[in-house]
Amino acid sequence: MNTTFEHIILKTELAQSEMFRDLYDGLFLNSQSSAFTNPLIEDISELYNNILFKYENLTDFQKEILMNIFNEFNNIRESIDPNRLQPFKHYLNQDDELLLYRDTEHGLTNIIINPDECIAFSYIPKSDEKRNLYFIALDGDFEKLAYDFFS
Amino acid sequence: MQECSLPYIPVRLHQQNKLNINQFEVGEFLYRRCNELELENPFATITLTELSHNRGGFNENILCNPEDVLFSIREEEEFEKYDKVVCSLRIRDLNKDNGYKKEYNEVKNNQTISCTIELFHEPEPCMYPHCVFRIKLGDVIVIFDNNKQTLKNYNIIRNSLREELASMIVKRQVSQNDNP
Repeated sequence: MNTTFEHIILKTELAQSEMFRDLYDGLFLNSQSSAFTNPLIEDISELYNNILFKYENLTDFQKEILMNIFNEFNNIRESIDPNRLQPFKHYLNQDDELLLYRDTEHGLTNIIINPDECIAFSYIPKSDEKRNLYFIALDGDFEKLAYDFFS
Repeated sequence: MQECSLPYIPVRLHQQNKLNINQFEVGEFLYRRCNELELENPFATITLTELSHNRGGFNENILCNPEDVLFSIREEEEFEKYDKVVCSLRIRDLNKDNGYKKEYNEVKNNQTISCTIELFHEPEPCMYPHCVFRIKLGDVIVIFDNNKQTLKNYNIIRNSLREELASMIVKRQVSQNDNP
């Protein structure tokens, strides 16, 4: 993955451009809560860094889990089907839980990463379909988690 | 009994001498104040504490209009209505007592802690239809001031509660029998 430092340099250089500063600021601003929808976010590693930038106080546990999840996203892109990846959003709620989520016509999907020791997956359908909630451990099946997230 | 002293609250909403209605009805609506983000993803904003709603009543006994839930009923608040949207939740099914109560358990340090979420009609002087989803962890009622301390160490319970409340908003319904 690209380092955070490299990303800082890139962002700084673009933001310092007198002619295009406003444009770049707007693009970065828009990129901070959604994924796979921004022309400047070209690969998954940049997206990972983008989330780290926005939420500076993520715990080591959250960063590690996020890395595991993004590795699986990358695996889906490279080994399974790049078209399977879909836009999603992220948010840090008041309990400092990092949310990766997708709101579609079918339902609401969340990956919830607690600050210390808990990762949960939730799918709430908008129809009478069955809800899905499960918890996974640090050594859990992140491939399944990533697959379910884009299902 | 305390009287309502807020001049902008319609008299029809005052508690006055009206009694609690301990049972709910299938098909009855509960009205909840929400912001836009909460509607998009309830996991982002739901606080696990006493969750106020208005109950709509049923058939011949309509208790309120949906937008009545936007009234501020706190004297210390210097506005009359919240700048939020109304989320209407239809009661799909109830337990045998015509109520709603769910229990969650989590094992921690070889001890099982039990948590319940239950719906109560709890009239306020200025808002007779007021009801709450009340969370109890063991014997402790979870309120805003203690929710982080009480639920902090119970990740499964906390996430399960939040998922239950989120499902109400996503599905626009309250259901005793719908579970993950």
